[in-house]
Order: sequence, then C-alpha cells, then structure tokens
Amino acid sequence: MLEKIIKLKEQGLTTKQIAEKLESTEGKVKYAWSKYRKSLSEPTNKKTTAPKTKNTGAKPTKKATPSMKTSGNDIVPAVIAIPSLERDAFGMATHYEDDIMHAIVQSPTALYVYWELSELSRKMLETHYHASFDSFRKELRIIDVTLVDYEQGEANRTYQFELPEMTNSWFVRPLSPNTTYIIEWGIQTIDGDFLPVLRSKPVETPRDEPAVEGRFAEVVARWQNGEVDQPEWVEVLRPYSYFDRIR
Amino acid sequence: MRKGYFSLVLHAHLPYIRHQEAHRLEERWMYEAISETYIPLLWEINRLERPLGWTISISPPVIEMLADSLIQERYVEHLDDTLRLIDQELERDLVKEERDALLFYKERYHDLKVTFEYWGRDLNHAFRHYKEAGYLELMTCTATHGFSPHMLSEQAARSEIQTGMNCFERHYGFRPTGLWMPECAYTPGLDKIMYEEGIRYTFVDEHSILNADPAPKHGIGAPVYSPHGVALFPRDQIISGRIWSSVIGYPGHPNYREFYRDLAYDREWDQIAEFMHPEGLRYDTGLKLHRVTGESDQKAFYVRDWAWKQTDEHAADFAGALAEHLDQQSGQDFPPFLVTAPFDAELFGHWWFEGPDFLGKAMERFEDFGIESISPATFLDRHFDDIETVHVAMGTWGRKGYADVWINERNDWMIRHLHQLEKRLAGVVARNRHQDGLTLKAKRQLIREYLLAVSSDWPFILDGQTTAQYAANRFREHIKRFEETERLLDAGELTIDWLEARYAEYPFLADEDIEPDVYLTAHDYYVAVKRETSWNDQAVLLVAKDYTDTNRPIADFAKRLARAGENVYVITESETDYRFEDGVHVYGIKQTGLPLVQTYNQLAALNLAVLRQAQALYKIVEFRLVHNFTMETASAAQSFAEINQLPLVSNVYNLESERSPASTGGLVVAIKRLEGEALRHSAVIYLEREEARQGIEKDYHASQQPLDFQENLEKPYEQLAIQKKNG
Repeated sequence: MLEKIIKLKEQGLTTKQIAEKLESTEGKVKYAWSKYRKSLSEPTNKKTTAPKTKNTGAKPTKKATPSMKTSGNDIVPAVIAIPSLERDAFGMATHYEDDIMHAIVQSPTALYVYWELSELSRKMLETHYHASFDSFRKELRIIDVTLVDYEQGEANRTYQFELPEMTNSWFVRPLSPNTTYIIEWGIQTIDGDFLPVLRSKPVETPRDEPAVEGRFAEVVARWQNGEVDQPEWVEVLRPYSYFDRIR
Repeated sequence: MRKGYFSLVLHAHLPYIRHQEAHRLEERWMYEAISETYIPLLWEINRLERPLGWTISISPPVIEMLADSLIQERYVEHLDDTLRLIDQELERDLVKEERDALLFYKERYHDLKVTFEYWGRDLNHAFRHYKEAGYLELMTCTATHGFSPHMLSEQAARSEIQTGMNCFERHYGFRPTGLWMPECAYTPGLDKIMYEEGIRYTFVDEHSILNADPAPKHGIGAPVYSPHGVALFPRDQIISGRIWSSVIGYPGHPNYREFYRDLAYDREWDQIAEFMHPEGLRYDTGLKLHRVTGESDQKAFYVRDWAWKQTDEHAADFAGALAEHLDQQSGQDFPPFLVTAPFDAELFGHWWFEGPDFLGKAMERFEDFGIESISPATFLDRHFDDIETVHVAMGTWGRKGYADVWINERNDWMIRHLHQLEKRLAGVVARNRHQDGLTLKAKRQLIREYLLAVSSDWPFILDGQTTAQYAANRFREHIKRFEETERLLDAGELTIDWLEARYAEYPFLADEDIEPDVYLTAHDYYVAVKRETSWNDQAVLLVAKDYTDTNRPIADFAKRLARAGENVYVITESETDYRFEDGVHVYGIKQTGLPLVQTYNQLAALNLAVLRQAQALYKIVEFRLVHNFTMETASAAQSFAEINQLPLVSNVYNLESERSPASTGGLVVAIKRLEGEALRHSAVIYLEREEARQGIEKDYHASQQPLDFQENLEKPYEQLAIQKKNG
C-alpha cells in the first residue's frame, strides 16, 4: 500500500483522493504517509540528550564552597535538547515531544481539546501492555467535576467515546453550560478499564442564560470577605512553571 | 440635565502589517484607516473643541505603525498618488455629479495631507494633544490583540497586557487605568492579572453581564465588579444596534457613500494602471464615487451635501432615541443608568464613511437633549461605591457571544503551536539567567515573535476566509522565527547584528517595552538559581513502589549511596510530594482521579505517574542510570532508561513465580512478561534473595549473570563502567 501511496502522492493527489482510489480510509493513508516521511527524516542516532555543557566553567563543581554554589549559576544546561521534529509542508512541527492535554472553551456547549503524547509515553504504554501503540483503542473521557474534587476521585458524571486513529484534537460537544469539565485521553484496556494517560486542567463552560438560582453568590461573598485564600471557582490562566515538580 | 449617562468607546486596531518591502497590499489597510477613520475623527474632535466624554483605545500595533516613519512616508506618497489620480480623472470628460464627487475627494485628500503634516506625520501626537486638552480619554489594548481566554498560562496573558501598556506609555507618557480587552473577551481569572497590572476597568458584551451570577440588579444599566475588582462595562446592544442594525441602522441610508463601489473597478486597466499594484493587481483607490442609492445595482453618484445633511438627521434621531431610552430607565439609582457603547473605531469612517461626522453631530445634539456623555473612568470616579461584585463567565462580543470565531475547524491548528511557545518561553527564562545585553535582547526577540504570532487577527481572518493565506503565513512565519532564534540562542550562535536584522523586519515594540521575566515564576527562579546546583550532576534514579518497605534494604541502600557522595533521587508511591531525607531526594507520587478496577491497569497508572515525575526531574537533573527495585515500576523504569539511553539496573527480591506459584491467570502471565522484559533489558541485575536466581536464568533467559546485592556494596555501579569500557 505504501508504494501506491507514494506514487499517488507524487502525482499530486490529496490524502482524500488517495484514500478513495485505494478504497482505504484517510486516516490510514495519512498514517502510512507520515510514517514513511518520518522514516526518511529519522536520524541514525536516536539519542536525544544534548551535548553536555558541563565544561563551560559556568557550573560550580561539587567541591565548590557554599557561597560559590549560587554564583555563576546563570545557565541551567538543557538536559533534553529541543528535539528535531517532523515538519509539514509549511515547515511547522506536526507533533511536539510533549505530554499535554489542554481544553479551551468554544461555547457554552462546546470545548476544544488538543493533546500531544511523547515518544516516551508511547514507549511506556507499549512496554507495559506488550502491544503496539496503533493497536490501542484510544478514547476521550469527559468528566463533569462541577463542585467536586476530582483529585480525590469524585466526579458527577462521565462519558467516554472512541477516537479515530491519527487524531490529536477534538471539539467536544454537546456539553452543558455552567459546568466544570476535565477531559482525559486514554486507552480502553481489553479488561474494561479506561486508563487515563493525559488529563486536562479543569475548564468551565460559560452560562448561556441569566442565573436564576446561581451557585456563585456565596463563593463570591466568601472571596470578597477574605474568608478564603483562593477563589473557589475555576480560573484558567494559571502560572505555568517550567520546573514544576522539582523541589 | 437628563438623568443617566452615555459613554462612547472606540477601539482602533489593525494587526501589525508593516513590511519593509514596498507594495504589500495589507499596508493599505493602514492607509484606509488613517484616511477614513483616524483623521476624520480628529477633525471632529478638533471642530467640537470641548470635553466629549469619549474614550479611544488605540492598539499597540496601530500606535507603532502611526509612529513608523516608513509608513508615514508611504502614506504621504499614497495621498500624493491619489491626488494625482483625482487630477487625471478631472481632466476626463465627466458628468457634473461625478466631477463634484471627485472635487469633494480632491479637497478631502488635500485636507488629509494638511492634517497629517500638521501633526508631524505622527497622529499619536494629535491624540495625545486632545487627551491632554481634556477632550477625550485614551487607553490601549493588549500588545498584539491576543485572545486571552485561550492562552495556556498566566504569564502569556500578563505579558500581552503589560507589554501593551508599556508601549502605550512610551508613546503617550502615562499608564491608563482602563484597558480594552481584545474581542471584549473575558474569562474568570483574567481580572486577577488585570488588577495586578493596575487596570481598573474594561468592557464586555451585554450577555456577559446579563448572565452573571448572582444576577446584577441593574442588568446592563451599570458596570459590575469582577471578583478581583475590575469594573466590567457592558455593551448596550439596543443602542449599538441602532447604529449598526441592518434593519434600522443608519449607514445603509441611500444618501451615504457606497463602500463596495470603487473607481478602480469602473476604469479600464490602462487608465489606472500606474496607480495600481505593479504586479497588475487591482485594488481600491479609496475613491468611491457612488452612494448607496437603494437596493438596485445601479448606483447614483455621491452627493456630499446630501450625505452631510443626512448625518444631521441621524444625529438628532439618535440623540432622541437615547434620551427616550434613558428616560425609561430613570428609575435607576445608585448608580444612575449608563449606556455603554463600545465600537471598533474603523466602523466609523472606513465602513460608514460619514460615521465620524455623525458622532460629532450626535455630541452636539446630546447637549440639546441634556444627555451627559462621560467616560467610564469618570463614571467610576463618581459611582465606584455603587457597583456590585459578581461572577462573570467566559464571554466575548464575537459571533454567538463566545469563542466560535477564534477556535473552529478553520483555525484550530494554530493553538498548540502558541502553547508550545509559551512553555518554551518559560523554559528559556528559567534556564538561561544570563542578564547580558545579548541574552536579554534574544529573550525579548523571542517574546516579540510570540506576541506577533498570538494576535487574534490571524484566527479571525482564517475564520472569515478572506486574505486567509496572508494570516496563515504571518502566523507560521513568527512561529518559525521564534524557533530559529531559540535554536541559535541555545547553541550560543546569536549576535547582536543578527537580532537587529530580525527586529528590523518587524520593528514592533521597543526592547524596553518587553520584560522577559514576566515568564518566570518564583518557583522556577528558585530551581534555576537558588537550588543547589551540584544536585543536578550525575544522579542516580532509584525507582520503587514502596521505598520504605521494611523487608527490603532500599532506603538504607539509598542513604548509603548518598553518604558516599552520590546524588540520589527516589521516585516512589507516597502521600508526601517531596522530602530530603539523609541526603536522598524522595519524590512521592500518587494516583488521582477515578480509580481503576484491574490491578494491571493500576500498575500502568502508577508507571505513568513515575514517568511524569522522572520527565520533570530530567529537565534539570542529569541522570546517569536508572535503578529499579520493584516489578510494579518496571515499565516506567525500563522505558525511561531506554528512551534516554541510560543503563538500567534491576533489583530482584522475588519473582512472580514465587509470589503467585499456583496461579496461571492472565495477570500473572502479563506480570511475568513485564518482569522478564525488564530483566532482559537490564545492564546489571542484583539479587536480594538467592532463591530467585534460578528463575531469572531459566524462566527469563536474562543474559546478565545476577550479582548478589548487599546494601553496603562498595561500588554498586562499577559493573556499568566496565561494560561501557568493553563497548
């Protein structure tokens, strides 16, 4: 199939046209094509660690006195270099080596969510389940966490659905207005569990009608009166810390 | 005086479309805005010569382009060309009506030039002058009009806000207390950043206030405070609609100028070629000689006097309608009813040619009707005490009232790139703390590229599908320029010359406007600068489900390693996120969210959590090996070691065949497979109990001879060095 795809691509056909010609799906054609492209651009050495900058003299050695240890500490060497990424026809990265899922509001009844999964995460899943990444059934799980603590395993309701292959974003709709959601990307295991691999931060759909019996009067008052340190509602623009989880 | 207030807010914005090379079509957007909106508004302000209560927001791209000498020069050329074209046209055999329309333009273009030159070609001076005279309020918007609710981080939103204010202050000499948020977009939490940046008010659409919780008692008749204390002024759609509605709106009147009929399309190519794009493209000359006329395609010539008189009528009609509206609401007290009318400035003049005349005349009629026109700033001065605090949900003034315009199937591909840039900016400012001129300049250039990319104009244009290619190209260009700059910075190959050449291509924002450390969190600063740097070198990563298992010597081993001078990191299941214990860094992970049912999947979740912590540490801690102690954590340990090409060391206490001797179920099979895989991938296998040796050799066919493990091993990783040496 790949040979045919290459041939048709050379003739200038779109993925869709090729899929029709080969009586295949667009997803399969795209996948085969991108795999082929990747194989062309793959460096022979897969090492991703950066050239070490240890000998620049900027970093103190272990024997340094305590006062020296914080001086001259201007550069933290990038242990992981910016990986060379696969590029599309416009020179844009088609995928980032990152593990992120992020949801944003489109409307009171729709969210947009996108995700990136690193090679490392794929590898771990493949190792753990002794199966190829392609063979996993990928799903999105939509979790209503309005006024509950999902960290503690609380959820009002959830639903999940299978994603087509080669998908890295989704418009999730229809949803309920004035509701807090967390979205997870994961795999449906053979024994019936949903294993969440990526999780979005909570995001709230806006109200689309006047509040009749609202839920914010009290929390706004508590916040105004200084009874709480943090507002008790979802605020999406949180600080992003590059060294998060390093103490 | 009538009870109640009216507040007009005009927001002037164009994306930054300045290009060094001549004849870029997009640059004409700026000329049109100057000729049709900015100068005509200034004429009205100058004619009325009194406090108007208007608030004008001028976006940083517009400010920067107005101040740009290249654009100024080209604008004057454009005026001269148009005047020449008018003269050439006037030499033709024309009917009287057409000649009159051209004579009107001749005078107008002459006046435009006089005004432009009067202000030294920089209209910022004009706006500043009238502000200082007390005729109007000025404010600005975020640096590049980015769509804040869709940003990944607080830092990006803050950078947009702060940089925009800095740019404004550099040109106007003061920091405004109000800020126009692009697209009237609001989201909970944005107000916190705004308040911290000194902003006390902004604008939202009507439904944002009507749907606030608790429901505001004055509806849209008054602003509300957001929870963090920013006053949100709602757009009054009834009054705005009067001006813009396609049914009752004013601009469609037959006497007004027809926007869609330009001289360029009424002439043979030869007649106008020298005024068109050198590559043979036809574009608007700005000479629109016809009036709306009616539904028919047969358009009559524009009669300036009729249009002028029409604005008298419409101004009076508008003032009357507004007076009636205010009277209907006169029962409102504390505060009195306020009509807020925010508009894109370019609607007046560019789209509705007579719009600026209308606005000026409406102000005069307001005086007749006793309507008080005040700025939101003045309103707050008077009534700050009478404003409710409510929760306002995400909302915009765009199509359908939310984010449909800025995130849909036509433009959704953009967002992930922008978020990556945000993350990388945080990484650059955290990792690279050099404060020398070159590094600072590089960081500022990176931020400049991000800001230029994040402009809401690009997804907006892609949504509309006109000039979509330009928008997509500009977006990609800034992303790629960012990546290139970042790469050169990391490689230490940047020079001041290179950065200046980059800047010259898009000379937007002065370096001093941009504060790189907006992207730095206090935590990142601590990790990068204050945290012990020797902790990052040559570290050993120990992985164990239960680090404190009393049957096993894991903790003792780790402490002993630390005492011997090794950097030891442990990732284990624990309620405590982090503890530094006897020289050992112990990072605790725990599973959160909905529980999993099956044991093997619980293990997968555990391993994912281990992996996330290991990834996070690896940003700064240079591991030299991974030492795994428990089968339960094997998949994370093995994959992390493999992908990063680190040697894997495995400790075996017992094997699955001992733990579950009688069982042959699927779980046991899977665990055995996992255990065997990890052992076969191990460079060194340590045996804690001799009983497991046979299983390792026989069942798992590990090629490495298992070594005996003691917690007091002198050099536990010596074997790795020997292996490495032997290739």
